[in-house]
Amino acid sequence: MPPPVLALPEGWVLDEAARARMEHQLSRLAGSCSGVVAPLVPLAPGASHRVAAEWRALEPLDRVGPAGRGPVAGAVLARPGTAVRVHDDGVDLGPGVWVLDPGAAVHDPWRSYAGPEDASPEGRPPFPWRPVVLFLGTEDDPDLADWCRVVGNGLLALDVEARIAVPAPTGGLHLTRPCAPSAATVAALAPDVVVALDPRALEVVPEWLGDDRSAVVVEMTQHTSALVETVPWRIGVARGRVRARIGRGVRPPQLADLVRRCCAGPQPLPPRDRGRREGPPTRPPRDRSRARGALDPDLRIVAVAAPGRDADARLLGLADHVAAFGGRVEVRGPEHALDAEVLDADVVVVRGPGGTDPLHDLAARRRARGRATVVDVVADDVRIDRDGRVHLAGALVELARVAGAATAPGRAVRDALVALGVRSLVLPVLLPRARVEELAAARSSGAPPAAPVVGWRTGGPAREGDGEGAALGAALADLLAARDDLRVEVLDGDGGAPAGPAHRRRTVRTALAPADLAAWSVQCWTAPAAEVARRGDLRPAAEAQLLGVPTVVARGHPAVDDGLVAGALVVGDPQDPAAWRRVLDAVLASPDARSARAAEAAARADARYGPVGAGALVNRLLGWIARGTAP
Amino acid sequence: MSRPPVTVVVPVHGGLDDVRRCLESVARHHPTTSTPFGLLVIDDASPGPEVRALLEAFARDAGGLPVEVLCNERNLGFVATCNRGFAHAPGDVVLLNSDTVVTAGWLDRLASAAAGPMVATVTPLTNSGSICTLPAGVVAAFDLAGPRPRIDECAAFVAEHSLARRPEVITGVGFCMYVTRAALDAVGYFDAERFGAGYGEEVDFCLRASAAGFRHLVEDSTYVHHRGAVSFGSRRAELLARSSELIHRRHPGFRAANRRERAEDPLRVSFAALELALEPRRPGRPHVLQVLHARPGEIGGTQNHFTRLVDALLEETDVSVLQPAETPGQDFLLTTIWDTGRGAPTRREHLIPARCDDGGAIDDPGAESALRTVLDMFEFDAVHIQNIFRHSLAPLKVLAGFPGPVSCSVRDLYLACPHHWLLYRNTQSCGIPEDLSYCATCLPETRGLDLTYLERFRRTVADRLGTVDHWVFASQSAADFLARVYELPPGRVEVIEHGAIIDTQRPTRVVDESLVLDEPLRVAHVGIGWSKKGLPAVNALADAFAGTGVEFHHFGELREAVSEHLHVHGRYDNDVLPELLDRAGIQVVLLPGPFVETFGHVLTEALAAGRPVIGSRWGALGERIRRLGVGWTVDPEDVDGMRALVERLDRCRLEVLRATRRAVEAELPPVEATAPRYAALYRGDGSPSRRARGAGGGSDVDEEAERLRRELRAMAVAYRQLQLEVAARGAAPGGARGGPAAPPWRRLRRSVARRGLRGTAVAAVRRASSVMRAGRSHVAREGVASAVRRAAGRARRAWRGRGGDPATRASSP
Repeated sequence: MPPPVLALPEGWVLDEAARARMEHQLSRLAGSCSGVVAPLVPLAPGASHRVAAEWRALEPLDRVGPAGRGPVAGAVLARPGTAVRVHDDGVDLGPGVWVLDPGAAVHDPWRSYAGPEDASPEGRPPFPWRPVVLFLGTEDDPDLADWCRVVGNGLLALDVEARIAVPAPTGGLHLTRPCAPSAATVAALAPDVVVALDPRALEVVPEWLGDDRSAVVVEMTQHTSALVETVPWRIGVARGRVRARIGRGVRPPQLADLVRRCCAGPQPLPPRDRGRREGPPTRPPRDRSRARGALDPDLRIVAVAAPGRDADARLLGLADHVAAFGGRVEVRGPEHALDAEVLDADVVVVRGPGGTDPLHDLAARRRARGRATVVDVVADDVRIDRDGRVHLAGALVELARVAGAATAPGRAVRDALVALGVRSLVLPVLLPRARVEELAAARSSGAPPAAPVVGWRTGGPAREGDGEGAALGAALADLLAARDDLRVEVLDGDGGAPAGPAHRRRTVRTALAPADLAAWSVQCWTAPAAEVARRGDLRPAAEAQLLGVPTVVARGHPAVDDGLVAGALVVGDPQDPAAWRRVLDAVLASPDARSARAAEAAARADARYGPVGAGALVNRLLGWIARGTAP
Repeated sequence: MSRPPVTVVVPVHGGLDDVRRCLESVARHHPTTSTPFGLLVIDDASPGPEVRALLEAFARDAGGLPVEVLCNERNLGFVATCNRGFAHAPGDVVLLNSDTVVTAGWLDRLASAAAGPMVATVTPLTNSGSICTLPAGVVAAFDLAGPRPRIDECAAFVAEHSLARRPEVITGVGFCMYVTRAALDAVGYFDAERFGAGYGEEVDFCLRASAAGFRHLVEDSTYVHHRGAVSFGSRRAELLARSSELIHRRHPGFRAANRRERAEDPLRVSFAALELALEPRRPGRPHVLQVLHARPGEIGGTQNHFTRLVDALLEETDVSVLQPAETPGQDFLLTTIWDTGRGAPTRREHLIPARCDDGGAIDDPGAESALRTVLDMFEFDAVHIQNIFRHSLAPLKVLAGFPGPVSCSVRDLYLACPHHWLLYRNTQSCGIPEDLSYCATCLPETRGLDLTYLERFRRTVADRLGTVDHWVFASQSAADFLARVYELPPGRVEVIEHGAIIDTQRPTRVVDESLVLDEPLRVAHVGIGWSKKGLPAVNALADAFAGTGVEFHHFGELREAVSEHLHVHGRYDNDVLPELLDRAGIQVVLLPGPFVETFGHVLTEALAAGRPVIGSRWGALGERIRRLGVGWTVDPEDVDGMRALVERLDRCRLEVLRATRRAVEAELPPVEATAPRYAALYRGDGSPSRRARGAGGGSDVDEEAERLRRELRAMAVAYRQLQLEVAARGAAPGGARGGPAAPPWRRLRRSVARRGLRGTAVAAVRRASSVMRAGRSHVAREGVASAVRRAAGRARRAWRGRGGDPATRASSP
């Protein structure tokens, strides 16, 4: 799609922040407006166009109003194909629906202002990270004033907020509005660095800075060279706040580096004595090991599932962790979708193929009441083609649009939903707490395997054209030949014949208890990535890793995107046996190497699926839901 | 008055083969022994005529060796026989078991050690001899316990690689014991009445000598082979038990002292050097000593960074690490990580006996001793003090004379103030005030120290600044803070950012617009939860935003109380922090602590997670945030300002998005990327930006001139070292007679060779050093010095011939 068109009168300045806001508005108001207008506004004394844009950006996004047709004093970001004409004083708007955004603004840097006024507090950035440097002069020196203008404009481009406080600013292009040299200006701007342009300024600035611990002073010298000389601030040698001297030949990049350096300390003034900090408060530290949400203990979540979609691992995991917060999840069949207790539930999670009237009705009614309904997209709702594109049933998408929100099994599905205009959050299959405890117990009770065992989780029967499986089979055959201490166990739940030649130290299992799985040194998981992405079920890796068994997968596998599998365990070319072999050799190199990988794998799994990680995700889910239903 | 020759007394009772081997070895090494000695063999009525016949034949055909054979008419026992030898000898005595084999230089070195003041006994190292027994690795390497032990090889190895420390022990060991006449005259001979059957007599003698103020040394550069357990055969155990009881009754303190000695092991360092010499480093690789403050197993940013840096340096450098041992108040640990040609680096650990005080002494004697010991063990090319904390200021004193480059990383500002947090009364950043009345208030409260200590501390640091060639900082602001107190020469300041200690290539490091724009604002405080890191401010913010939808989270260990509105996640593993933040839906990381960071690893971890940071404006956090635009800066004292900022960020998510993009785009080079810069410091290259290149920069002539200049500098250093060594030898009692051959030569040759000296310079130094090595005669100080001066002159002339500056100071030894 062609990008929007910016109509900006020549010489005017539109800050990046304002531009970004206009683009966002255009995207947010997709289809319903032709363009967004940023009005022309004057700068507050002592403000730069950038800081002015940042203050304006605090306006809520929805505080836009109509902008009529015809000439406007401002700039416009318009959709392609709309009629806009730029002239010196503004823009003419053609037919269309135009909105005026007070949160964006454009400025005329050539504008002249009446005699310099004291700086406004809005001269200071609302989002402090760019240093503020104030060029302060008390003498009327047009050359110096113009020098300040030029250097100040240059500093703005280098992310330094330059301000000019001189008695008689010169005309010309000012990206920042000059202000009066006064104590009030200094107090309003609270600069990080003051460049004292003359001796009198150098004399008064300490008084004007008062007890500001942080501001430092740079002395302007009469040198015409590009002098930048730091002044020693060593104890016994330092000269108060003065940190450096500069000459008039200094270039903005040099000055920017100096200013940034001065901002980091040490502070020129001593600390303010507020008394001693007593020992640790008497309240004992609450080193709780779970993320705590501000949940209403009466929170009711009702899951409504279409026929055939009974509560499954997704629901069980979610319900368990919601219960940990004190809430509860109830399951109802779709025949109860319009029951009062469902309509009144705090949150309803629906599943279904869509196109089901009760579910649509439920979602619509709840939305009208400002109640949250979330469509949980599951594997059956998703098809991923060979090229990795996600396809969702149209009816399901429609249901999700009515509901206003959908949870997705993985990132690919979430991105697809967002592209379709549906708010979406990834909600993987979570492990119930009891299961995590069981796995942790199995890990801690088992002794490390004496001899290395490579596990292969095929994720199903042998697949035709499964180059990945063939490559791994060949790699394992090599390993078995090279190491007579090694065993291979193939876990194939569907009983299909795994790839690779048979070997006396290779066995096939259809199921494994945690204690047996814990005896593996490493597992290779070759379930098709698309299938895993469709299901959003990373439990095979999560559970193994909680048992201390690191998982090796192919590049692009969802377990990598999830952060569950470390980069060193990703096979770059899964069709190449040597690539599998390299990764496995590194893991199996020594007991220390295996032990390190085991600890790393367990830490990653615990971070995602342990009580704290899962609890954090539930907290996030509920916060996301709440924001979606906020007025 | 000339001293009488030493008498080597060999008591014999049977053991024909052993006796033959023993006597032949003594005779074999007689021609190369400079210490005048005679051999006294006392046959204690050996059964059968074979032994006597052997002795008589030996005495006839001993060459130039004076041999006297005495025969006891009846068997007197080992102890009495020894006493007969003591009585018969005119001067010092060496008691030598008949089942020993002596080696090259044995007697000269024993005699040299015995020449020290108040020495009663000197014992060499052996394969079977109580505390003097070589480590198992050395025994195995030379097959000393096997049927064909490589005795001479072992002796040469020990002589070459010994540190020649001559540690003091409680008692000598009798298999080969040099006993001074002075001790014999003072305390008498062995107590034959009580210990007549054997075992324990030498212990008793040594303890009596100690009581009279004498010392007992181990000559740890000498090896004498001892078959052992021959003398008394099956009665050994009984005799040992009896003698132990006798010793205990006569010397009640011996058992405890013996236990203490075995625990502390005075030969530990000597043996460590020998064990390490078994697997020498591959030649040509630089060897760098890293001085670390962390104990093994301690976790922290410094430790993680150091581990990764060392792994990267190991590709081209061998590393040894000196750090306090695990338990406070005990020892130091030396870990060597060397390429010994086996593929993976070989890692060894040795305890260095030096009590680590850790109590804030300006110069901790334990730290000083440990560092001196380690410097004595190896010839390092460079030393890097990773963190001087816990070593006191002692390293700056010890390393003043180190010839190679010394780097010191300033990871915290301990050198600026013993209260290295730089938190005035533990509340706010002090900024290192000029007015010391603030310090007078703060130090007693926070560290139990006073202003006098601070002044002395800073004076000491200032005096020792010149020891360090490269002051390494991870940020410019850290250097600026230290410059508040000291004048650091600009050419010696290096700013090398630490690099990322976690993997930064992560799927979580993407811009998730939905998260930023469409979810409640969640702010995470990461790190230890205490005042130093800003927990009070975080608590206040959590309370202020309660019920607004803005959430505050904490990741890390908690050490102080928290707001009930703070989401607590507990401790975390740095490696998975990005995943934790992602899981919890965190958009912004908050680091508001008043503690001034010198780098801020947590900031890097947040950026690896693709999260912008609200951080303190002071120090490295502010410096990096401003430079990269990856967040916002706050005054740690201004909680209202923080609240206002968070409110605005919640209202303007596009600003959060802007900073998030910057965070995702920020370049985060890994620690490994900094290794070449450190390697350059260790080579003494200096900062590339400051090094002036000669005319034609980089031409062959310039490089050659530079090489010759380096050679002359190295020659000057070598010359000074030799001067010191010769002076020390000349000042010792007995002059330069004998003396340990190995160490000065070894140190000198290696330090010179490693500096790339070639040709005539090396030959000259080798010649000069071989003079010292022989030790046969009194080597005039000038003789050695002139040899080196001649070599230096040749090198200088060669350099001049290339157009070098004759006025260069380094060219004038």
